[in-house]
Amino acid sequence: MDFSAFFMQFLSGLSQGMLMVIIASGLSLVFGTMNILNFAHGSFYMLGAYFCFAVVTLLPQISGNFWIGLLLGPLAVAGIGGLIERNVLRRIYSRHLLDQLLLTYAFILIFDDVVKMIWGIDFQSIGMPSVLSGKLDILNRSLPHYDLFLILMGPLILVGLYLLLQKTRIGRMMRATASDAEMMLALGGNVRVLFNRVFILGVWLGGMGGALISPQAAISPGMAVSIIVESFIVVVIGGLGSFWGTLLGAFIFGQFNAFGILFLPRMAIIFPFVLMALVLIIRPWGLLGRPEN
Amino acid sequence: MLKRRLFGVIGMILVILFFPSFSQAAEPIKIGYIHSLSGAGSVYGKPCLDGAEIAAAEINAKGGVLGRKIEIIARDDKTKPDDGLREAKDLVLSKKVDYLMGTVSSAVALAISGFAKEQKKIFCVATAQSTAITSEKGHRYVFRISTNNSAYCRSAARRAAELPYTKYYLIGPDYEYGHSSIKEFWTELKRLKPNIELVKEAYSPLGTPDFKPYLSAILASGAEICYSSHWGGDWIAFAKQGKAMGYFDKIKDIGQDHGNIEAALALGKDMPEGILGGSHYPFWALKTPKSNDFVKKFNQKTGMYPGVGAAGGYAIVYSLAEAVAKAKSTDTEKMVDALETIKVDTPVGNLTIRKIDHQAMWPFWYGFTKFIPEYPFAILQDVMAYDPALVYQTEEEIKELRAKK
Amino acid sequence: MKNFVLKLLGPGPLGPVLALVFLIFLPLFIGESWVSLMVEVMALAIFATSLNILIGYGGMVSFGHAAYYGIGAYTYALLLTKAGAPFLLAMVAAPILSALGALIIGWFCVRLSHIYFSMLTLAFGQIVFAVALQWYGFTRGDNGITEIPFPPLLQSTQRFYYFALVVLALSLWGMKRIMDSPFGKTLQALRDNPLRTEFMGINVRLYSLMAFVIAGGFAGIGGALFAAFNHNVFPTFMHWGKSTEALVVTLLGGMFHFFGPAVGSILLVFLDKIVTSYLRYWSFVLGILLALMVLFFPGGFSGYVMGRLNAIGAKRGEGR
Repeated sequence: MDFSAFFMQFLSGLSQGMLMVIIASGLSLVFGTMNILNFAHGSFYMLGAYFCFAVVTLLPQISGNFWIGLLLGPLAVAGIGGLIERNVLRRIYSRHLLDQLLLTYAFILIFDDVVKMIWGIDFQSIGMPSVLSGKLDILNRSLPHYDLFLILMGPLILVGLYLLLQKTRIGRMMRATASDAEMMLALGGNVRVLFNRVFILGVWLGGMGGALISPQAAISPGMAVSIIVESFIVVVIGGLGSFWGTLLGAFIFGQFNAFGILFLPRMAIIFPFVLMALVLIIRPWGLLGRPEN
Repeated sequence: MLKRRLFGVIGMILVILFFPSFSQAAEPIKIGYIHSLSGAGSVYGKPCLDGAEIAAAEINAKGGVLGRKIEIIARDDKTKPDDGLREAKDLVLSKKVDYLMGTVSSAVALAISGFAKEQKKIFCVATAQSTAITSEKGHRYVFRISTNNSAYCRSAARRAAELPYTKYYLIGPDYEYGHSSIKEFWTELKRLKPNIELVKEAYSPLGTPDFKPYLSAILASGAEICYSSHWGGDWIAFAKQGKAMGYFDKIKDIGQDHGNIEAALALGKDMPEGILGGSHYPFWALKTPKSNDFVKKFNQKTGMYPGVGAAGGYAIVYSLAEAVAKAKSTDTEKMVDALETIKVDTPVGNLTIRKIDHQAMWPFWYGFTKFIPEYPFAILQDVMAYDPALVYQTEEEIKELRAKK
Repeated sequence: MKNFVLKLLGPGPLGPVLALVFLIFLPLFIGESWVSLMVEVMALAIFATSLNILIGYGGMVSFGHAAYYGIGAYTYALLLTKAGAPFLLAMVAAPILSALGALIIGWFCVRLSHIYFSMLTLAFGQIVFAVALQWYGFTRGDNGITEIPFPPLLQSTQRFYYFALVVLALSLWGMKRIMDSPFGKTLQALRDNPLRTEFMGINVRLYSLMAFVIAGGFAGIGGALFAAFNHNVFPTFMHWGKSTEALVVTLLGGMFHFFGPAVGSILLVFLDKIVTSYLRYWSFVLGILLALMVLFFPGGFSGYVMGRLNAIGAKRGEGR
């Protein structure tokens, strides 16, 4: 294939990858700091899309209503996440892995139906924000402006997270807790509040991912389940809890999808899982994770 | 005194003799409705039930059939064959329904069909499209009053054969329906126009939200026209992302689901114009009194426009009612014979049901998408449907397929 | 009275025997569609109990257990439809092949623990599902294999019910014997303290693998039974949704008791049936129920009952 086609494939893979970075880093962050694998992360992604949709449909006259939705939607989802963490999730921190997984799975079931109760079963869709509905013509092909926007948003948010982790107090506490939660407690750190903040942030990232994808895809109750397995694959490949690992994992995932479909189309559905299995077998802590016992 | 008593006794005897037929007259004809009422398929399942209920209400308002009212008992199959079969068993064994209808998932339809065959109960398929249901796996008790996949695809092939393009790209969702649709389309197109060239065939996982890699691959391939068997959420994502990339300006597009209302409504202004799409029920073009009436009633009941699900549900209930009237009984064997010979007036016109595979000769229309002020969604312009005999599988084909298994 | 109840629920055979007698006479009192439901419950009970070998006894949370259920079901279906094999042969072959699948997959999985183990079982489970979905030539893809022939002797629902009861009784008895044996005890020790068990000279990986294989084999029986009863198989039998169904059932019934999953199966199927006749929002109800169980009744139904009776065996680790 010629270079322009190759480059376009690369860019499509990149935009998908950068969106996954946002979503998966939410999952990874929560796991790294709190040791909880939040199954319901997919539901928060879905809620992000639905809330953005709600804002857009409630304010049809206002131009730029998508941006308002992008701002408010994930915040609303994050708020819900915070409530869930404080009232429900907190009770099971010391428990068996299975309890965490089942409880977060319960939330997927609940939110699936809540979304149907409020918005119905039909497919929903919102239009592209007018500011970004153009496309860039390069090398005889067109790249939508929105894709460029996604390619930039991913690293932007990641840089924001990086600064948060490295430069702020709360970030330092997060990293310390990830290494040794007990020591944190002993040193007098307020782990409870920290966990709540971290969870809210993680959920916000998931919701942001959902809101970002809403102009490009169908909004429906099935969104939660399809994204959660993909997020698992990304964080496993990169390394659960690893910051850079999530970036690498998402990048690989995006490129894999982009080129895999060209060269091995029949395998498209299996390949992410085969990749996940290979990583787990050969290097279970992921490409950039740290081995722990 | 004695005479009066005698009359009284005779009267009572007469009443007792006729009582069964009185209670018979009161007993409703029960139709067990199994469809996706939650989950992915519910966007088809719910309107189908609404359509069926409208039909039942109309029939009951006229006094029912043979003096009996129609009652619909609805169950959710959750788009899973296990659940669908379980509901079918319950409806037949404990609710004692007379007939079964429903399903959007072909897997569920096949599971229920097997059971219907065993139990000798009539099962009318409403939305599920896999041809296998009525051909390889068809039997005496299963009927389909909707289109099927071969009609869908062969109609597309015929329409495509009239276009001047020869270099094709084929894409669809990666499961049986996606694959068999493409195969049907391609085989028929090749038969009609042998000089076409297959540039590439590709499949995407069902439910994937990201079509950009596929879209760019298609654009890079040098194909003139792309045929897609995507539907629902996949088609919505494909359309939106394609439009953003200017895909539809660079390559011609033809798709089975492009004219169907469920996706068209969701897409709204994002539907690309000028693409060739199919529809099971283009009410905006048909405008027969029956169809207009149905659209109005459906809109009153649900606030929405009717699609394939709704029209199918409506047609099935009417078909069953007509058959009961013709057979003058609800006995299954008589009903089967009646269904094979009736002509039903439905929103898509008069339908007959073919004997060999119990498939209704439901037409399938193709046209080019266009926005008109009358509706909030894109309609298909210049729709045309081919003679059903041309697009459904022939008798020889069906016999061959059945012999093979 | 209390003593009788304690004896009923205690480790002896009285409880299971009485339950068996109850099940033998049950079809006389309930309609055909309920009998049919019970057969489904039995297949699910075998599947979930086999999963509990891994979760409750072994402490290994598998997310891909449905793969073996599915392999058993497809083995049965394919032998009958493609090879025209006799019914009993197919029923016996099913667990053998599913155990084999478990051996291959398990060999990779048992090297990992905790979340990594779970993720790998999920990955393999989805791979098996994808193979069933896509290998149309062999498995007919998502149209499934339907109208599987079965012996005329078991034609009626009632007759099949008794066949299923026999299979259930044998399977549960088999699994219980294994779990009560030294192997089972070692497995539990492994769950509670893998390091110490290793120091004692037990090959942890080998034991985990054996548990994985046994669990996979019995799951295959459940799958074949279900396929036989419904006369069909679909790729969804192997999807992680099916795996989570077994997990939910195990949690509902209680993972710390051998019969917990069996009890959970009855609860789930009947609850599902009852709720869906009133509401379209079964997911919501199930989610709330699940959340409440995890938060307040982690021992499940059986744990709650045992706790209330203040009986022996309610403590964690002392399964029946």
